[in-house]
Amino acid sequence: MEWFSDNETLIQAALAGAILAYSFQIAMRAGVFTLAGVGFWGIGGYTTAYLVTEREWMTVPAILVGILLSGIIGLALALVLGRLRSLYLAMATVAFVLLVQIVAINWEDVTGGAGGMFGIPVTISTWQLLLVVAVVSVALLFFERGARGRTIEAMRLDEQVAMSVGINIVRERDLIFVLSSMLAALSGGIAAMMFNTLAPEQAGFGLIVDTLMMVVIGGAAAWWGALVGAFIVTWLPELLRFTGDYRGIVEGLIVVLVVVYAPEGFVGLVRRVTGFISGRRKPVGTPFADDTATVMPDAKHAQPEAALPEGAER
Amino acid sequence: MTASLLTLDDVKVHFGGVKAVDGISIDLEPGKLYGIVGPNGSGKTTLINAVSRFVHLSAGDITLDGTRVSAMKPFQVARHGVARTFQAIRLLPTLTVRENVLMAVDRKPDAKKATDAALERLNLTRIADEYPDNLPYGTRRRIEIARAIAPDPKLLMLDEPIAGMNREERAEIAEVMKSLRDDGLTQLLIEHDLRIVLNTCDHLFVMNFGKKVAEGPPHATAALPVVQEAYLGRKHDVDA
Amino acid sequence: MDAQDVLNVVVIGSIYTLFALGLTLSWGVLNILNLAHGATFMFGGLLAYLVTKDTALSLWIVLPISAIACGLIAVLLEVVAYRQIRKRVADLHASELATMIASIGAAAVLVALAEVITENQLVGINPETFNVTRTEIFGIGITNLEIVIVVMAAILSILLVYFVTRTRHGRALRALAQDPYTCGLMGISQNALAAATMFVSGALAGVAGVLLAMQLNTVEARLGEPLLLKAFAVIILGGVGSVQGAIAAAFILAFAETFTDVYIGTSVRDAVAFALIILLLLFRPQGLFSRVAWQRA
Repeated sequence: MEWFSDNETLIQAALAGAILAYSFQIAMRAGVFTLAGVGFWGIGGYTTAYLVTEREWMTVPAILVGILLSGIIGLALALVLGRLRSLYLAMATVAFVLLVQIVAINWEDVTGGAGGMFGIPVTISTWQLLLVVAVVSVALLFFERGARGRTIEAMRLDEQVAMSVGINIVRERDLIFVLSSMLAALSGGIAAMMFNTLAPEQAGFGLIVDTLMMVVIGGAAAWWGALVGAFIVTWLPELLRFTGDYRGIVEGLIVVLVVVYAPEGFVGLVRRVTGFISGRRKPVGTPFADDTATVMPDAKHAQPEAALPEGAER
Repeated sequence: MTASLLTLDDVKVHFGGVKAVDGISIDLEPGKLYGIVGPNGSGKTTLINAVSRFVHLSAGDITLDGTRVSAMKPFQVARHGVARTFQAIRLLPTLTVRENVLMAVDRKPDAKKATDAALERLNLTRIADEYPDNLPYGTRRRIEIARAIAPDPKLLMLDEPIAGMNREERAEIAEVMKSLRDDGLTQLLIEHDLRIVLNTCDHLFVMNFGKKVAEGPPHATAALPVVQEAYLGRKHDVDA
Repeated sequence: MDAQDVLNVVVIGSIYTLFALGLTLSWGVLNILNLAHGATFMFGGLLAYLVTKDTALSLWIVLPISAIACGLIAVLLEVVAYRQIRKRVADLHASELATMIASIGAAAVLVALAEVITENQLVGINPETFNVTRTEIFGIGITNLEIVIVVMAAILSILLVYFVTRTRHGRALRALAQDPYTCGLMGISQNALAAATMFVSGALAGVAGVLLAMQLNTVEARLGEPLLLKAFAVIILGGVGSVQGAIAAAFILAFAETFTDVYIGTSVRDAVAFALIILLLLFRPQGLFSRVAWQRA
């Protein structure tokens, strides 16, 4: 279809972005508010690009090395930061991302410095990318089912209850952290091999914001939320082209409106509609809104803020 | 004397300046229903939080069935056979009743059977596929108890399970506890409703200001002046 | 490190202080991680530019204008976004995260607006607002602007510390931080306090923005971003919600950065803040200065 070839770049960007969005989503769904994915995107991307261009590796092994490396660093990061909660973890991971960026700027021999790497051969086709996204999507679909799905809900909604029924919260969080970092590295490796250049400024706060938007707008409560969100966010500049110079303002406003009025994102909206039709509604309960909260006010609000929760020491 | 299932040995839990639990020693024999009573703030919840290992022990030891649990992580204590309910009912709203209970036995081979049995015992089979938020308060408490007993624990701790329930619901829960006790489950019950406590418990502990001020058979213990004082205040305060 | 470096530490520390004070207020008192703080700060400088573009106005007029305007921006965010989120989201964690994301969106709006206004160019505040002169004190070169920065930071810090620790309303702020639920019972309007806190937070950002814009002689849309993470480092270092802690931490950070600059190299200077954040969160998440024991009843 002509539409596909006309919009191929956008489709590629959306699909590649979706994998990174998946990495954010899988973590946030489990209550692990890590934004480190962007750092691993950079690590995966640079590792892959370096191996292919400087060492003449084949694409797939190079990407796999990037993934493995990120998994190891991700585990180290999880061990080190794993006790932190929500905002504190978010900030620590942002700091990690920016540290990675600084390394990328300064380690010129490997990363090409601030200018980045150019002329990386394009070795991944759109169809291959589509296949990868499909495989990852199916994997996530199964991941969120059954016992694992219940564990994830418990991790996000009520850690103490999870611990009280024997779930090893610390280890589960580490696992999620590692998975998230490896998915992010996959996205980075693919991006490096599809889009020809890689510069440190790509792996920074802007990418964090974009990816967060994908998860928020798409909705974190179901695996397909990140995919939908990725397409929406990637297409948004196109759709908003008519706003001209004011596009940035409109995009920002959309984010604010979605977070305030539709915090469950697209997934939430769809579930409301299907629930309305079928008469029975599965409560959504995403990281950003728990509209079915049965928490008594004094239980939650009387706690002074703490970076570490009770009981979850290493 | 039968071997103790749970032993607390001079357990202390201090938060900064607050001595929530101040030297409690308790022995629980298997198969009995124990009650803990005491005014608000006497440290009852903190005590079972200590057993669950949700709080640090500032001093003392806790032994479960011969194994020292004072240094374990909360999930390890749970896996060693300690189950509990919470003061505020804590269910996961995004899971069905069945899934809420299933969550507690996910790692076990006979998960489905255990879940069905627990649901049946608490009379929840009919609504097993509903979501908890639409269900009445008493029912939600029963779901929480089902979740707690599904993994066939050695010790069940209940923190004010019948608060907010009417007479019938309270009696119903009391019957459940008694039947669990008859099946050999050791229970530790924190409760304010003295009538229910006197009706169901084999042995009573009374706490005040983080200390154990009395223990013994329920009726006799409840009649002790020190216990009356703990609840009602000192005599001359009441008169004045 | 010589005396000039020490002066740099003082000046930079003062700017960090002004910037971080506002953020520590909103986070410590309201649990709002206001990532729009950086953009608000930038907007302060931008407004100063706009207001003086055609007419030269004194710095002492421009400062209050920016302060008030930025205070109002912050209040707007509070009323339109943060308060709505608090109303709709029951879970504390979830509302904190949602607020943070909403603030990212708000920041994007402000930055985009600034890009439109400046047409993506670097602009500078009309130099006639303040005649910058250089003097020497004890052999160290210092400009009068730098003196203004340091003195303003000192005055505002002292005022804020006094307010929070000694006045009735200030202590109410701390009560709010501990237990918003009880505040309702005590008749303190949580909404009014929140709005007032955000106003002060924004105003401080505005003042800092004008001063930095004058010091650097430029305003550009992305001015606030690098400062944001440093402000977090400051707040975490000092302990969330502790005004005194934030002040001390601001200077510690400024010192650490200047030290790195002098002895290691400029390119890694920004990494200092990030490394500090990670280290602090690892080993002492409650900050260097906050007192021990989260009271658990």
